[in-house]
Amino acid sequence: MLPVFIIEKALDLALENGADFAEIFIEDTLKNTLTMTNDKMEAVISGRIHGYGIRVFSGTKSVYAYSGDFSQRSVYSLAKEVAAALSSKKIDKTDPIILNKQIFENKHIIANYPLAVEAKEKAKIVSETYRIIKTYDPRIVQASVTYLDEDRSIMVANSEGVFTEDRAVRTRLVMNAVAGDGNQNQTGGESPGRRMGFEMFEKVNVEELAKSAAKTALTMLSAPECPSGVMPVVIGNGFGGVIFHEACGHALEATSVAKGNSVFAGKLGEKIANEKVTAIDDGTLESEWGSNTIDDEGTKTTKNVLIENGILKNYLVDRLGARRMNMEPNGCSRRQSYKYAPTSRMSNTFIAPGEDESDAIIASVADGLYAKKMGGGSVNPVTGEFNFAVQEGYLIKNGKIDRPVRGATLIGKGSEVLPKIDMVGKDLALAEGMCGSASGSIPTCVGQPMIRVSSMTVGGREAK
Amino acid sequence: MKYTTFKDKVFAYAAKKGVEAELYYMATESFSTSVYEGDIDSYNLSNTSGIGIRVFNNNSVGNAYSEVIDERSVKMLVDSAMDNAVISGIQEYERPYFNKSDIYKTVKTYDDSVEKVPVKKKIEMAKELEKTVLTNKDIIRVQNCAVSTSVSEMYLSNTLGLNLSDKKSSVIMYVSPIAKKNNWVNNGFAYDAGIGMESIDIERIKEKGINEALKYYGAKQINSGAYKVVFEKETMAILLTCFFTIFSSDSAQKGISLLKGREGEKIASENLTIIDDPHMPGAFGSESFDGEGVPTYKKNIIEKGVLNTLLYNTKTAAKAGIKSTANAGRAGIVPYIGISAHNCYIKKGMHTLDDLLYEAEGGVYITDLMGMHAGANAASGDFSLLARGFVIEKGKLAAPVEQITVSGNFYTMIKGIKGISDEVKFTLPTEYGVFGSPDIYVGMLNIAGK
Repeated sequence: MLPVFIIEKALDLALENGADFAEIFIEDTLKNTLTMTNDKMEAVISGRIHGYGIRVFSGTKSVYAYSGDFSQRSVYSLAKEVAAALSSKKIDKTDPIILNKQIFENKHIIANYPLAVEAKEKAKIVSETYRIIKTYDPRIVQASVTYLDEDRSIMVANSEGVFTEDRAVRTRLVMNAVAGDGNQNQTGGESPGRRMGFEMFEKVNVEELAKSAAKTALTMLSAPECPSGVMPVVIGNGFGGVIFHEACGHALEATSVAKGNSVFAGKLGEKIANEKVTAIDDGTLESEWGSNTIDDEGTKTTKNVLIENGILKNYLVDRLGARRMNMEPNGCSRRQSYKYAPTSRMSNTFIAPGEDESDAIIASVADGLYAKKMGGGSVNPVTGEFNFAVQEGYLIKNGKIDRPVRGATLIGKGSEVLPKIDMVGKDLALAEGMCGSASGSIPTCVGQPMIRVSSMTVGGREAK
Repeated sequence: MKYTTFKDKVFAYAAKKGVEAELYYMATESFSTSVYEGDIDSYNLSNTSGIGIRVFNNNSVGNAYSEVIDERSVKMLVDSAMDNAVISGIQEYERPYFNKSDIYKTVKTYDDSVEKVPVKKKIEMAKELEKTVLTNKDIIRVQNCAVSTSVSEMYLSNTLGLNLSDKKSSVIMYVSPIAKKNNWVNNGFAYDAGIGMESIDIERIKEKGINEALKYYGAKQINSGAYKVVFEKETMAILLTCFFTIFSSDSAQKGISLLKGREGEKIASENLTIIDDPHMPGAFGSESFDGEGVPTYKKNIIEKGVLNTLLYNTKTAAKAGIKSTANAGRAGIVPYIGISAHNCYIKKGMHTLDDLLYEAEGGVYITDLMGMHAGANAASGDFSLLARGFVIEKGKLAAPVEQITVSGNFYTMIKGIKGISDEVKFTLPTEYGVFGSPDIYVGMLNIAGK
């Protein structure tokens, strides 16, 4: 990290050279990865990411530069260079910036820092989990288990007096199972993660998840192709929340809203979803995968209610977006590393629990699809077109779960699907993922209770 | 610290510890700017470097990387990699590579124009692109309009005597215009890219960008059912990218690719030949050596429907008892050696696109695919992807189509290829290399719509 006087001077230099706002972000991250596959530890990798970025604004114009050269000369010249690139008028600044550090309370207590855990302990978790998947059934032809930990220290300072630090520790176990019968393969996976240290393995039932990954692959191996067409779809809790993440979440980020590119731009206070839908982005949840004490602009994270009973209440707003939108930033500005300028992103985003019983939701469907486990998805925020893959799906016939089906994809447009979420269950659960967007790949949670979408286009390989 | 100094220190320390070591160093300088409403919207500069190390201790291998290249890192990197080697255990096939008699072909991967053209000129180009795109009355603004250049230098050395270096440049200029007609809104995307500034043609990007934004106006869903399908060049290249790992020896040895042990067998229709060419001048995937330092060469992966070879690095090749095909891939400085292609493409055929459309009467020409990371599964070969395209009527493109999925199985699909057009197009680089394809009429696939 840099001495305070260098940071202050660099911010001063940026303002003197035409910036109306300047910010310095420093990151020092340690990472460990252990992967076992094909009955072998395949890669054991330790890494260090270390660098800083300087960002300046002039109105809504922004310039960002990053470097790994921490020499005083280099920091100062970068500060001048970014400010000069704004090509705004130089100002005679009189008051030098004086920074006073403010540290926010970190709710996400780490019991067992990965740095302090011996690598062989980590390896033990990996090999044990690997064995559970691999020995689950003779048709499991391959497995891979990857242990990841990250210890990320950041410092943010800006010309408005923000000067704060944070240390975030995250741990994850990515499990994949491949079931095969020689002619075909199917996959299943689970990837628990927490903003925790090694104690995550006391809180998460890895064995159960490992078996669940294997079971999904096996179920899909013997499943026929999913029929295609328009039908009611019940989406299971947990990772099912990827539907909200893609269909709506991205379109509520300032990145799309500020320039009017989102279908939901200018709709605050309007009904955009069924009244049963309340959706929240909450970066404050204790020790959750997508949680943060501060965001990457040094703003304290908050709980943001995005949709309340179907009414659009809020957007996810970063500092630059705030300037365009005339709103306050709300603690959601994030980035993969110092190699990205931060922007508005999701943290833990979920549909709040409703009143419907899971049994009643399934029973309400005469002929449709139950997407028990979802895979990933993506969206085009301009058109609202989204898609996601069903990892484990079943047909519903006459209100009962029928045979499993494979290869289903759900598609639609965000503004059209939100009013169709007409049943919302009680069993809220979160699930961990990585979300890729303008500022890189970041840890986020999706979540929801079981929901019903009254009709959706289901893509499968079987004509209905 | 300079790379050569750092390398000497690391190798001296490794020698003291009695281990072999390999270093991979990369330094990148990049610039990008985007414009919005005639002014600079964002402007990014960067200058970073990092180093990855593999340490070979008896039969075990450990890895570490760092973006801090100083005196202290010398010891830290080696020690940390050695600790990791203890955990990784026996790796009987992973070895550092060096062959004194290797000859490396010179391939052009660097063009100094990306550095010589001043930033001011690059900004002007971006402004010009936005301005010219907005001259179309149906384009209301741009979502993005940017130019980005980068130059990276790379060194690969090991204690056996390998000492290689490479320099690459790139430029990409792109625009995503937003079109609005009545209540219909859509964004297009178009780019030019290459290793030098002469690859950029603003007029061409403009024409394509506007066309991409507007061409789906009035698009509707079609009825669900089985349709004749022709994939447009770039969408087919994207599909090839999704399923590239089926040609990876690593994937095959792990039983994930179903092509394990099938070299020499007919796995696709006779008209299909897939080539991996590391020596195409000015192409992003070109290089004279791979991620382990093995000299690259051109090869057919599939030749007239027959699987000629899978792609190997030295580890998977040693396991199979053959030579590496020079397809060791790396993801930046992270010292994990995977399998990558260079410029991998489907060989052009004899038909024109019009021929294919004539044959696929009543079918759909797919021009856009979304959700590849979710809807395409390389382990099973299954795909079900959100798509857009055009109905094929009387041998011509008719009504635009949206909100459909096209689904099938890649292994099955390549057996039934009906026709291949006579022009190849490449997409932007991916984590597995650069991919290209002509238009391909693949026969019947299932489409979900209404």
